Amino acid sequence: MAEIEFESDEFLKLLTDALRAGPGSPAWHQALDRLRTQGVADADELRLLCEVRQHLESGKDYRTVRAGPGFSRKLMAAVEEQSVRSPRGLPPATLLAIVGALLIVGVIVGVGIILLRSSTTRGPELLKNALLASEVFASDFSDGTPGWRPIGGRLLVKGSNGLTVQVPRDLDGGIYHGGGILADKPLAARDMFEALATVGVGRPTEQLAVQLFVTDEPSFPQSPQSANPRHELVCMIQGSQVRVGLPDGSVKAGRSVQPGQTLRLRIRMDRQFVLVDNDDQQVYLGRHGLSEDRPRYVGVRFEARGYERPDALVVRSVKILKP
Amino acid sequence: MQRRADKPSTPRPPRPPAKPRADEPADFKPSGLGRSSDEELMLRTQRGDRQAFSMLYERYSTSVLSYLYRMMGNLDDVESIAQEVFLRAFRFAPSYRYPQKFATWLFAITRNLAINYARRRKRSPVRSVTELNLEGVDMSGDPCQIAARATDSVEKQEEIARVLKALDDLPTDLKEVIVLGVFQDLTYSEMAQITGTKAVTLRSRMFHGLKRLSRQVGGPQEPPNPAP
Repeated sequence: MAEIEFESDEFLKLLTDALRAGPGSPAWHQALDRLRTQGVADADELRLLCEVRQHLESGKDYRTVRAGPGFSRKLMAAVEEQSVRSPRGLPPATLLAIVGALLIVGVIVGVGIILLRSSTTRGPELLKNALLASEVFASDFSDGTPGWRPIGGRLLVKGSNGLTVQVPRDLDGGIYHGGGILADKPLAARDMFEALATVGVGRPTEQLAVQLFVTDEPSFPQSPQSANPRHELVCMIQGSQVRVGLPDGSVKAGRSVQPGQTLRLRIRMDRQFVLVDNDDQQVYLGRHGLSEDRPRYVGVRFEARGYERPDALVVRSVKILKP
Repeated sequence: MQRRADKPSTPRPPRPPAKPRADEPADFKPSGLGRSSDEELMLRTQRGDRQAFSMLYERYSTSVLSYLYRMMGNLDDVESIAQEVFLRAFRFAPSYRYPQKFATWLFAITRNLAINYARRRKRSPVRSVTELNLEGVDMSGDPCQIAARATDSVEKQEEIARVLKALDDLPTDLKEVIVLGVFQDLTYSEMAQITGTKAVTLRSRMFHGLKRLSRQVGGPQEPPNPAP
């Protein structure tokens, strides 16, 4: 007989209810009434089922067993022992699930820490070992400063056989004044690049400095220096030394500079880290402190606090390279 | 007629009318454990009340032991399985969710353990011999004695004994629904919760199980092994 009939056939449903509940139940009486009074198919067979059910009811004590005192004592002792051993603890499956979840969280945290550590240690190494050979921009300033825009007020830069600065003879000697150029095209913050400047040092002096810098802020305040120190990473020749200035205000000192020397200043940068060196001598390697999202601009700036001849410092070329 | 013949007839009052939370009764009184419902006793057990658990054991030990005896047909493992049933019920009391019917929860544990034991016995026929600490085995284990106590009619006695003996030869799924529904007095819905089988399937099994037993009292012969 198909299962569906037991769901849809009202009499079969009543009959199976009666067979379960047994003699004496309301369903039993109803089912027998219908078998007696209504023309139910296979009524004899169904009556036989009821007879069997009555026999089961008569034999309901069949295999009824009770716990003896020994069984109960033994069981209660085991319960007592169990409650002492694990006082109302969580079920083992729950404990196992909790331990498993903790392990998974631990593994995730561990992997996260390892990745974080590896990114802070591997990042600078990658930067150091990267090969950047694709030149995206180069200027030797032989014919002006195309691709650059001027910055600053009182110091005028000129591009002719290199980039030089015209320092006014009446410049106020108390403070530094700045002037220079900034690349027109920005570089994406996510991309690694290298700015390479070749500087001829005619006469190292504290009066005049030259800077190769990278900034994430292309507009400059109306100040004598025309600079955004908190948004700039600067590699400069000032006096007789190469120095690196970071956005947080710290300064790293590099090699000393000799008169007549030509130096290569290099800033290699990715999203987080920077390598600054001159003539392959590392001055700084670490986090650059610029925004990780805003585009970068490469610039060259002269700073002067007194008159100097234009050939004291000459920027012979600037290149921008990418991998 | 006496319903739930193998369970002690403990009066159970209705649950407290007002409850602060849907999943927990309002309050427990320190005394009167005997009047508490099974579910209330189980809540007390969850809080570490071993006396409440003893009460549940008193109410259900006979049911569990008899169920196991009827299903497994031998006494070898009944003791140890039943002991494990109550130990697990105590250990896993925190997993019981009020107001689920306690009997359903307990029989689900019992059934699972019985199935596991049966599988293990198939793999390893070596049986552990335990000291028998059960009562009533001699009287209730013999179908003829049971039948003789039920009626004076010799003809009826023979029929009852034949039906009871035939019960052992039923396939497990058919026997189970008769043992749970007839002997343990559980409804189809309760059996469905315990076995994880649809109620309509259980109705079908009840019908076909009784039909097979009816052959013992002169019913129509069925072909062997018709699957319900």
